[in-house]
Amino acid sequence: MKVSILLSSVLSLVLLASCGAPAPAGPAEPVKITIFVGFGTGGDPAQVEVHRKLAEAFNAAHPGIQVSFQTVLNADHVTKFTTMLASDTVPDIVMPVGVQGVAEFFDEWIDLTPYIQADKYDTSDFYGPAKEAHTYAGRVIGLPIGVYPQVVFYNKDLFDRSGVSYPPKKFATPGWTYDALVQMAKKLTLDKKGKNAADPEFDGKSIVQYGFGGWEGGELRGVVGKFDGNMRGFSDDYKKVIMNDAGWKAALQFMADSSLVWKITPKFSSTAAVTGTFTAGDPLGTNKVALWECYSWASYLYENWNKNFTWNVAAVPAGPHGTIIAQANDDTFAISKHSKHPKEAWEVMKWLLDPPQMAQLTKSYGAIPGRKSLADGWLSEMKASNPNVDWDVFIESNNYAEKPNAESWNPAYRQVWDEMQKAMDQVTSGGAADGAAVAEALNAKVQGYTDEYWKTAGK
Amino acid sequence: MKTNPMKTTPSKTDTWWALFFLGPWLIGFLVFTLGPMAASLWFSVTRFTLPAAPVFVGFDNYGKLFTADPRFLGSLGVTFLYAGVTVPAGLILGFALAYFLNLKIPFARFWRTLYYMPAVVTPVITGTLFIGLFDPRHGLINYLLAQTGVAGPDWLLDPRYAMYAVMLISLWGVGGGMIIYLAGLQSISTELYEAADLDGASPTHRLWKITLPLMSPIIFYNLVVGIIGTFQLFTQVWVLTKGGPASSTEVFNIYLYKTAFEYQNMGYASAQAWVLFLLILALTALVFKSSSTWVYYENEVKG
Repeated sequence: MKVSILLSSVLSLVLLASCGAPAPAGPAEPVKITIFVGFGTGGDPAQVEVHRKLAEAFNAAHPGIQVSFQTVLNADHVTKFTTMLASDTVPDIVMPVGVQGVAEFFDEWIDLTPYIQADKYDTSDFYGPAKEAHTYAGRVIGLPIGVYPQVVFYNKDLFDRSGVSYPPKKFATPGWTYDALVQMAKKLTLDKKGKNAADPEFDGKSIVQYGFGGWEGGELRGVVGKFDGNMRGFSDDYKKVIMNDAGWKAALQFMADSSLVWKITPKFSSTAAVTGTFTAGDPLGTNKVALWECYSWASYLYENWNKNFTWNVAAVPAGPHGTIIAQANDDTFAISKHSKHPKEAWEVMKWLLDPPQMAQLTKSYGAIPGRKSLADGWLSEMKASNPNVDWDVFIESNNYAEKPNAESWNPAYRQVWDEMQKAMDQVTSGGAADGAAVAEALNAKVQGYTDEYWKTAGK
Repeated sequence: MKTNPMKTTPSKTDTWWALFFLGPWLIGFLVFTLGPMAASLWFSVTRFTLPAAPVFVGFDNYGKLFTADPRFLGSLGVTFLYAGVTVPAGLILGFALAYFLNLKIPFARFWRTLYYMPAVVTPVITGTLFIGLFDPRHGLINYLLAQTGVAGPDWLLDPRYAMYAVMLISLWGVGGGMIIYLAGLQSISTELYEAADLDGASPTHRLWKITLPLMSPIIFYNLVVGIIGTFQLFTQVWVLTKGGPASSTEVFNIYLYKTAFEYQNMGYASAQAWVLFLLILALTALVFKSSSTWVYYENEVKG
């Protein structure tokens, strides 16, 4: 009996509460914006902490929008993001993402042009080539957060020991070509008796030091551009594959000759086959490689280099026809076309692109800020960290970025990417000596993927 | 009416209890095995590139596999090469090891443990360890070769040698088969050997006429498991080379994984998975069929 009285009292109270006066209208629920991290850098604990603090600062200043970061492992990003697409739970923003990440999900991003125009947003402060890297047929997918231009890193100690002059730091220095680099690298490639690769008595089977680390970590289409090949690798309508022109053949031949004929480059594989080996990913760090052409994302290696040898950077050489291309990787953001709040997502991104926030982000990513106005600050910081390096070479390199970017979209993107990596593997691992034959085989394979792509595109 | 005392009919309560205990497994089997298998069979006859919805295309995917995809045939070739070398080599090495470790040798238990240990190490650890050992410049293997005057190859970095390196690594785990052979060898009655000795049989005769026939069911088991294992090879290659360099170690499962999770082509990958399933089924059936001529059970006599 007591129980039934108690129950009816509770039920009456609930009923009274629900029939009471309407609650006063509170402030509108803030719009929730999620930023997906995992397409590139951004997953290290220190970077996660930077993201968290930026989110806190944004949320405190913008009561109408609440932003949060969702971080996944880089290796899982394709699977995770695809699953989100399939289940319609796509986050609003992806960041940081490179040109490759944008290309992997090419149709999933909104065009920022209307937002930029509506806000009269000033984009003149961003590096021009980096902006172009994120613009496709008039569609602006993102704006550069950070850039990673290519330079030639070199080990000064090895140069000093061999009595070889350092490479020039000024871009377009007369005579600074890949031919000159080969001659320089030969003098720096030594066998166990100390003979260099330019010496007739040099023993190519007992090399203890290499002159040139090649483009380990680089992208084939960018190298092709240096040799005046078709950098896109495709006709304008992307239906005919052009990966067998003279430039493609010359680029692949140069890589094959570097290790097999001139013996200035160790046999490397550009696939993940070597990511676990002790020398892979960091030829210069072995202290047995004199020159290495790589992007500024190698910054995570500087600490180790500083401990073991003195180093500096030089300009990227000119190709056989005088073309200078310093490849560039870029970090940007992209707003999903499935976002329910693209306007608010754009507001978040504008705030993150503001100089103070961009400086924090790029410092944590190891990138050069995408705004020209932040270059001086970056240079001061870097000079303070290592005064022996000509840091301004990185800034100048931005003017020589490739167009289109070596990671830009093409049909059957991942398959074609894999085939290009395999072609590079063949010539950098010593598996093939004939660059022209590799180029022809690559062209045929990629044409097959491309035909298949267009056969089913839009169906 | 008489009832058979040996035959009992379970009560309803017993049936419910049985289902209750079997339930978790049944649900797991339906949700995580049978369901996905049925789904993949459907996907295999569709064009299904995520995030787009699947579109029925009949047997196009299967047709393309055998007529227009050299990479698929290449990966099959690599898989058959790997299986053709490692399955027989694993069987022979495992048996030989077990045979010698079954003899009365000093510290037999120690040697058995030592040879079995690699079999309990996960493929990820084994792979990582061998990346270091096979490193062309700093690895132990090339160092030892150099001591004998042989210049070691670039192993995992050279398309001509990478697959051989993977094969050698797989033989490192031969202790798994060895322990099964060892158990079988120890279960053979010593009376048979004593009788053979009295009849003047040589050690070779004893091996061919007693040991091998009585071990044949175990060899058969290891052969079937070996074939299935080699065709399912994935983790070790993924850790070591990811199928490179230049596709030289791209076994079937690596290509399948890339098709599904890198190229997002779920329909085509499902067709590949079913071809793999049917291939393993056919090879296993072939081995079962042949077993009637060379596998001896208990006191069976053939010929």
